[in-house]
Amino acid sequence: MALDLHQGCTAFEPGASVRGVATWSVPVVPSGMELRLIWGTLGPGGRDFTIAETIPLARPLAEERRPFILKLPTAPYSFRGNLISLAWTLELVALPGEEKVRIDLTVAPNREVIDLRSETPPQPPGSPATS
Amino acid sequence: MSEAINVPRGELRSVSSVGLVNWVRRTFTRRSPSARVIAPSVVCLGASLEVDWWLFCQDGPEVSLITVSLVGMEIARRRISARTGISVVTETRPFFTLEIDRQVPDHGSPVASGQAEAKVPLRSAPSLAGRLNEIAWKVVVQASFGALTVLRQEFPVTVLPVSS
Repeated sequence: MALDLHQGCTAFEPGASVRGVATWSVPVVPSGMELRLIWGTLGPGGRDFTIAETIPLARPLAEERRPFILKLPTAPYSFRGNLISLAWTLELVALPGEEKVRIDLTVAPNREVIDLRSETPPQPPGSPATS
Repeated sequence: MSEAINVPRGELRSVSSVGLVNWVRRTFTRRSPSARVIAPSVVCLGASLEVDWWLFCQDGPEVSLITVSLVGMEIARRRISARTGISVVTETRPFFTLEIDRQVPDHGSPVASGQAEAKVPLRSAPSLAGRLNEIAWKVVVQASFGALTVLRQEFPVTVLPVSS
């Protein structure tokens, strides 16, 4: 099983379209194939994740090559913080066994992970930004 | 670029006051300091947040400095199992702090107030609520007397992604 994205691009603007090809060759015809677009946060206490979209690939054969196109949501953004980080993943899943391959995606303005680790520089005392 | 979204300004609800001393004061004294904040409850990344604030401290402890800040913070919860049961430990880490107003109140004045405007950063993380992990934005009003924090009240605002 493989997922190939158009021009190998894995970083996208929020709301952009993702084009690619899902390829598989399995010994037994799967009962279903799905593309799952997932985002999750990872922190010291574990992972929260949400399946943003599931795209069923109807009537799969044992060996196939399926082009796909999907539209990304406008949020949340990929970020990396001191405590938690948020990442997007595109999975190709064979049913019913849940065998899968995945690609990590970056979804953020300028197609760059937002870095929250640099705290705002301290302001000099007595000089509020506005008043 | 971003634009302001059409959310009316209103009084924000405070969610917490940090500190045992503060809690005791608020619970057992006849009058304790309290803050009010009027601002839009929802704002987009890159937009301006106009804040009107008041601090009421009639008959309360003396206050020598009031600061109002916009704070973005990471919040992570962790379940810890022990013989006594399961408890949840919450860690917070600010990733953005912008002081938007600072005032030395008149001595003995029962009310201090101000207006300020904060520019929400364009390139940051919007609000996000999860079971374990969270991104929260707050307007924080803090009153102190010397090194002692007399009051800290936090007023959540929802920060949305950049509007197109």
